[in-house]
Amino acid sequence: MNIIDCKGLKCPQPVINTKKYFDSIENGEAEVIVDNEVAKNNISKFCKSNGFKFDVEEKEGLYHIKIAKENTSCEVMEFEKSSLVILIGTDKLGSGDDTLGATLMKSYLYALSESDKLPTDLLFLNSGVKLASEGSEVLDSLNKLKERGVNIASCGVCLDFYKLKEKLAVGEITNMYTIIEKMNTADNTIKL
Amino acid sequence: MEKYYILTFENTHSAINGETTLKENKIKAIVMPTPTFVTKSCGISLRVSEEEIEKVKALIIEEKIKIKVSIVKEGNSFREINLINN
Repeated sequence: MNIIDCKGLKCPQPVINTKKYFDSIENGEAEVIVDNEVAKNNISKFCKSNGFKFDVEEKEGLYHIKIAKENTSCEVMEFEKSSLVILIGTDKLGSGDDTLGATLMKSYLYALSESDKLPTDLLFLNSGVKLASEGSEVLDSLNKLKERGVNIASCGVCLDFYKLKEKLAVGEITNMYTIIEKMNTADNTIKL
Repeated sequence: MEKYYILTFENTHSAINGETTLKENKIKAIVMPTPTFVTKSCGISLRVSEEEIEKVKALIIEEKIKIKVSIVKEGNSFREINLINN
């Protein structure tokens, strides 16, 4: 059986490698090896959403996931998740008291990081970029979101304005063209 | 198994004050929404790790911080716990 060795690879690479392989074949089997639970869960989710049969076995701290793609006569239903972009244009949630706003934003991002349905992208603009920079109190939540496959990006102009370009702690730097492309092609955009 | 504590408060103001007090005492606390089974209303709670909980207990005894209930989460189970007489 074909082995896809993903030991030591960081998320989301194991899922990407698995997807690449199964995209390249009509039907067949492969065994994916990963060394952490998050990767195992992500690959299990990937199999479920694609209708692949899979079986997980834990051996000496490694997860061996046997996956089978079977070409059925009926086309597998597309469970491809629709894209959801969340634009965070402020470091406080809602308008009113700033202390409350900062607390609500922490609470929001914590809950979002635990949520079953995740956005595809989190885009930070204006003072929102402070949330993704050094000293932010929500870095744990943002890192968790990133680990779970959410694309995190901050506006470069904004980082520059707040002198945070060197202090970006999670995600990438993006520009207005990419922000517009993401928002205009998203199935749904939420602006905070 | 992941284990941590959730501190809930009488109201939002005391939750925000509680966070400030923990911060002043260098105790790492994560702001989170109060789990729905505790309150249906929109509550703010603080999540504290097992390593930090002794320091929190000391602050409660000194009456520097006033909590409503504390909950311990172990694996998938939540249970209410009395931090002081335990």
